[in-house]
Amino acid sequence: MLLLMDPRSFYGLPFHEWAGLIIGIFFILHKVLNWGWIKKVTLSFFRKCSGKARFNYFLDIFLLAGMIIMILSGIAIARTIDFSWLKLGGSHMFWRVIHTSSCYITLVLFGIHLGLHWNWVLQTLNIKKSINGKEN
Amino acid sequence: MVRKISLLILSVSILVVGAISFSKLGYWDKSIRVFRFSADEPFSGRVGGDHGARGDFAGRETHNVANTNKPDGLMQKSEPQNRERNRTGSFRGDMRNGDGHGRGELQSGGKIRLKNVSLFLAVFASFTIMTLYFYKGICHMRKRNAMKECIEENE
Repeated sequence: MLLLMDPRSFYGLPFHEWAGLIIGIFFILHKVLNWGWIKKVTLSFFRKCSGKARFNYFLDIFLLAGMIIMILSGIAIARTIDFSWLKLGGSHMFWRVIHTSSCYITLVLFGIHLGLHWNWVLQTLNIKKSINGKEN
Repeated sequence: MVRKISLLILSVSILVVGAISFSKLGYWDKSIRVFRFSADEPFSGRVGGDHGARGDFAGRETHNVANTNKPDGLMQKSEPQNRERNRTGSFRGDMRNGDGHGRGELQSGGKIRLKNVSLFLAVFASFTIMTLYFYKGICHMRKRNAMKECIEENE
């Protein structure tokens, strides 16, 4: 879905902005609904925790930050949806650079995230049988 | 064995295509552009290394080039005009397409161009493959070390 968000490639800027807004809302909703899990993992992070779990946790934090920056900067540079009432400040160019960079970095982070959870994906799609019953 | 070899060939080809797309999109420059950004710097549209697919939509808006040199007050004045123009669905003259033919790419019509999407997909997939094999390599090394230790303990 992120890949189809390129405004030059898929139905133009209005689609890009509306789809981005909807995905952003769903992303925040997803985090709110899983707040209990986030809290639990955060607390266990400071106790005994494997290296992979710690890395995943940091990666998830960066992904969350990237998504938030992407959404905020997207709102600041939106054209077809009027967000001027939010008064985010800063120049258009400033937000545009932030939006582009955060998109590029977050896409890479998502690639790494998928690579680390590849076994889980295969198990979920029933392509690979679970060895330990669960990942991590 | 055949499956393993074919998977390996597929992975290598994804990595190669990903590397080509990475350089074509000027991915590194655009990723770190935010750390180099200074508000005083005049907007040049493109940052170095972007001579392939010219995949960045940032800086393709000619009227924004003019806007960046204006004081904030002037920019705010011209903003409603831009909004009005955009509401009519026309982005002509504002954004040029990725191939440099100019005009009309970001119209609200249903034109789908998958060239850039495939480039982004290749970069995304290559990072996934890299992580996958890197992680597999680490696991393999750990297993080997554990086995070595086990053998040494037994001896």
